[in-house]
Amino acid sequence: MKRQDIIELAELVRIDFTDDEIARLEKEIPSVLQYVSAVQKIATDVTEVDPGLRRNVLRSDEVVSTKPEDVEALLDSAPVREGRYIKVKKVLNVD
Amino acid sequence: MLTKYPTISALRNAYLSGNYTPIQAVADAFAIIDEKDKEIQAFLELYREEAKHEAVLATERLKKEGDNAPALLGVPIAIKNNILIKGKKTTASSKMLENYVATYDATIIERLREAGAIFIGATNMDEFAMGSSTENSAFMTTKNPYDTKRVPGGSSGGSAASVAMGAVTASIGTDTGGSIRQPASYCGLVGLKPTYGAVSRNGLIAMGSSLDQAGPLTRSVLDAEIIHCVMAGLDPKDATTIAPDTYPDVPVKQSYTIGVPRSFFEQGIDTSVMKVFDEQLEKLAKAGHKIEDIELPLFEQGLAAYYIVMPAEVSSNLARFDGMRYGLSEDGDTLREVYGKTRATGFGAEVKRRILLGAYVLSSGYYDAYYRKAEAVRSMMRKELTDMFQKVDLVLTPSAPTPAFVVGEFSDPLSVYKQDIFTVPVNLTGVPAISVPADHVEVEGKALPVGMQFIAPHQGESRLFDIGIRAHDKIQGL
Repeated sequence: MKRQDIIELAELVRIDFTDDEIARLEKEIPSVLQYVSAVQKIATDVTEVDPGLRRNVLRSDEVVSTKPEDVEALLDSAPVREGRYIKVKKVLNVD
Repeated sequence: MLTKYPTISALRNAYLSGNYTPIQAVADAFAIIDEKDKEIQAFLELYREEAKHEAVLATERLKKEGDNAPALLGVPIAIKNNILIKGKKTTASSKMLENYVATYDATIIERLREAGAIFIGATNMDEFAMGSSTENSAFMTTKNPYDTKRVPGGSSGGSAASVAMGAVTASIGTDTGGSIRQPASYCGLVGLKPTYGAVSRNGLIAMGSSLDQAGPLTRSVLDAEIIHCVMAGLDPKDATTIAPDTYPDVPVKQSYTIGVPRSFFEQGIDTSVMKVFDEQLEKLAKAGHKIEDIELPLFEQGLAAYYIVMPAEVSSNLARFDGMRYGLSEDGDTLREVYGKTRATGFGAEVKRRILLGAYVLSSGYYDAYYRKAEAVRSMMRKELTDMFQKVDLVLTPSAPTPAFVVGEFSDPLSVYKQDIFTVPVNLTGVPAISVPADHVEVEGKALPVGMQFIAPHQGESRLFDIGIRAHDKIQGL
């Protein structure tokens, strides 16, 4: 794993790391990966992965709770609120 | 004040006999906190006014209802701060949620309330439940009441310390890879990790969603059973909760065949812990149980699979902290800048490390080599364990390889991760396990508690309570 790999991963996870942090991760991540790579020797055949318990968990498509005070509390948790909207920076940039 | 820190049943008897009231219990809880918590630092926030008010109501209600009062009426309880209580700060010990106020009650909070529990305060933890010592809390490190140089364990370290210091009768923690059982072991308590799906996760701040379960930290196994029964059960708000008959019945027996995976204990385990463990085996044999050496080769590889599956789930779950809807938000010129700065400021080092690791094992090109293999190992482990439970009734291990370690003792992540070697396979396979105090070991003039972990088949909680009550409560006169 190279410095560039860490920088690319940092972009994927949307965290602005400092140079010190990157230098530390460059050492720590490969040592953990080396440890966990033991799984590759155990699971040589992975054609069948047990999906665990499966059943229908869908409920009927009905509105169950929109008490006005709940809506207010949720909107109030947002860093920037405008009326009944949460305000964020522009998502799409069209030139 | 009672002469001895009570169990739930002792507290209830004192209430019913009229010798003691919830008003006194809550006053005593805060008196102990005021005396000790400056040093121990178990609590992030105290709910003084609400608790006093609830105590008055509980005292009146006990007078009227007597023995018909609900199971936890007037019992002072502490709650790990990753469990939502409406109107209260729920921080997960992270700067990301330092000022976040919960907008609803977790299902388990609703159930505990209905059973009459009084919430005393919110307890410290490792940030987002990632750690084994509370040293990863963004706010403070909780100390072990048995030796304040040492950690209480983690991630539910504040919950464990709050009971061990005598402030509350019980506390609630969450366990993703050992976060209830290891602090229970370090603090001389009982700690239960229920079967995956037994207890609703609605209102818990998610870490590893296929691994997380909430459970009690208590002074007796019976107390753990009482609290577990209040919290457990199907919940329409958590689709992964299971009906009571989902798995084959796990009956309680006169005597048990207990499997001991001895080859698992060869590396990195403290000799004092091993000595205590062997003494307990002898006692169990004398009590009529059959002790059998077993091999669980895949179980021993659990930690490797865990440190792939868990970070993968962490990186997905923590993607929601984006500075847009709630929690910390750092300003920036673009959306991308808000994300990057918020997550850089809000998350601590361990959380960032796991998010990055998770993104790596899930990324295209590495998914097959890591995540897919780890899930395959997990399936194989489940089968190995199910087969083993055809031969033995319970599996027994130490809860942790050492007694509580000294604050700051570990600097590299991998050596801390290895503290969870006996507990993570339980989460990966979804079975229930209980850590029960075994004995104390003498370290630098202090008596440090050491626990042992009983593991049962899926939905075998009643078997865990049965063996636990016989191996601990009865012997301790609880």
